[in-house]
Amino acid sequence: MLNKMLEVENMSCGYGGTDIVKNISFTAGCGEKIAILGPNGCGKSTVLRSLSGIITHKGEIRLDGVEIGRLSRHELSEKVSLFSQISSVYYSYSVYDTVEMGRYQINSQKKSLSGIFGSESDKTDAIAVEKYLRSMGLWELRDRLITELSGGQLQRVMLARSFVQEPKLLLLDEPTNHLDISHQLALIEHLKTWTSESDDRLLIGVFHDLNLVPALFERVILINDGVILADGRTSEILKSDVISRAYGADILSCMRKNCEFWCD
Amino acid sequence: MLRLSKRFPRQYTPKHMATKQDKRARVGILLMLALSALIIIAGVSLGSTDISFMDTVKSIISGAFHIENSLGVSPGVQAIVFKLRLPRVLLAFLTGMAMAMSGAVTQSVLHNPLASPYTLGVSSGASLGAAIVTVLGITLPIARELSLAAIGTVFGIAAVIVCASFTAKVDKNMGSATIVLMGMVLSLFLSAVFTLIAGLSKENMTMLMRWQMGSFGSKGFKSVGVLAAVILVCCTAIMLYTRELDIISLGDEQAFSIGVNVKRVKWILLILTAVVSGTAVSFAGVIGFIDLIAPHLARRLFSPKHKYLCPLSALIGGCFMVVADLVSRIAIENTELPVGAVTAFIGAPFFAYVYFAGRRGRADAK
Repeated sequence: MLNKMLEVENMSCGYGGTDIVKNISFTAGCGEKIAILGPNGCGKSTVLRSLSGIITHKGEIRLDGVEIGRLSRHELSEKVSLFSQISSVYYSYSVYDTVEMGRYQINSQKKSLSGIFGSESDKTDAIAVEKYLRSMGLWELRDRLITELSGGQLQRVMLARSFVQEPKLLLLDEPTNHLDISHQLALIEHLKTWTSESDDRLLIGVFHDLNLVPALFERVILINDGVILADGRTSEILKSDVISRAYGADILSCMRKNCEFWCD
Repeated sequence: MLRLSKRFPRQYTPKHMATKQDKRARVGILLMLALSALIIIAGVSLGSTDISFMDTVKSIISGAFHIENSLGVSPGVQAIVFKLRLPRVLLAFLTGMAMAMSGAVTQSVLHNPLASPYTLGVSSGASLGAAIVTVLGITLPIARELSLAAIGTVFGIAAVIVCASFTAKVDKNMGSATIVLMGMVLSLFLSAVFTLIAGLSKENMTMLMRWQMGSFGSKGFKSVGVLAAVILVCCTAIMLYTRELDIISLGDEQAFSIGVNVKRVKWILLILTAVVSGTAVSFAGVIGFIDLIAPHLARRLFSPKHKYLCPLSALIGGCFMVVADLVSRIAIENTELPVGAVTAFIGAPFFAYVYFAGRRGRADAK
């Protein structure tokens, strides 16, 4: 690793005084794609939330050498974007407007009352919004209302909204939920191009579907009970018995049986 | 990518970026402005003695610009229009605006389509303040005849601040569910104190009950001026936060990640809505329903984007309130119905029709 974009040192975090994640440390460099795996309730999402600054943490999280607790909300959102599940949508914004909201931290300085008959966003915003609407397969749906979308379509809208933020560190909490298999594969391809487009990008994702992990991630951090069980190359960790121990199920033989079915 | 970049310079002028929803909302604002003017003139013209629209307009113009001969309208008519009806209609319109706009903001900030400033304790706080003033017979030095309104407003705002600070203590992130629960607990508690005071001081009971039912009668231009000033200041401030409102209405955590300072924006907006709705309640009484339905109508008919939603809700709320007040004056001769009951009485069926008819149509179309 040439550079250390993200350094996590003895970090603990949780809700209401109890630590769910205990004393974890890892570093990650630009261009890496890391999957955080582990059973339900082990603290995966909590790690993502503390990395994005939503919940406070003890210990150190340094981004480009700066502790994130010292960054303002605005500075942090220029660098980090967290994609998380949206539970329910009550208000019927159009797909285009919803995705455009992701440009907030880029053009929020322009505050004006004349906005009613104009728009705060400019050409760069429009280009970014169109680019990610197209890459998420939403361009044709741009005038639809988000209250009328299916779960998978809404998921893609929210993903596009994270992308237009143009973060350096993209945190994805179960991005493939609700997506059908073709959109799952398309998303993985898209994430690959996203990380390779620029050399200062880092992707960290929480996944439940182990089948999708090798296709995208080179590195896996395995968490159980709030501590890191293993951290290493995907090919090594997914095939070791650490993973079976973490999930409490015989993963390897399970996968092999699957393979037999598909390879016949 | 190449194909895209070629097309951008030509295609992306702000005009092209406006979605269909935006265009509809812009037309909607112009339409609602025209409708508002019409409804205000109608509200002034109609009543126990009907005055022609022309005479109404003439009286308003001559009154506003102090024209001596009243443009040929008889002084009696001019007095009815300018001294009695115009302040009343304007007060109704402003109250409707205040309630509707604060309703729109609370619904979005709390991600709850059923929330309203009343959920946060504004009305029960203001009622309690009014009860204390009435029972103790307090008159403030500068405010004089507006003492009741002034103290009511302060109590209304205080209730919201208490609600928000308790929430912040229990829940660091000011979660919406926590705010709603805290507001309901506080509202019920304050209402209980109000009921106790009203029950113990029998001579004031009828007056307090009447005050709560709401009325726009017997108030002058002084009230109109104060309410208009408060609305102008607070609503302008709210309009500066329309983008944050859009983002927050889709979830706190997502808004936080996009870069909105959720907690600070929530505090600012809750206090602004408390000031607007608290003032309105203190001048006009506890008038429900408009805060709930006007924003929903504006969203359904025009756009949920707050830069359109806030002004549109305000205009819809204002028009609706003037109509409700008109009905309360002329439905039964020589009797004035409580306007709070009228809003719900015409509002509920109207709302049900627009909301559910629209929804069914959309489901069929699929």
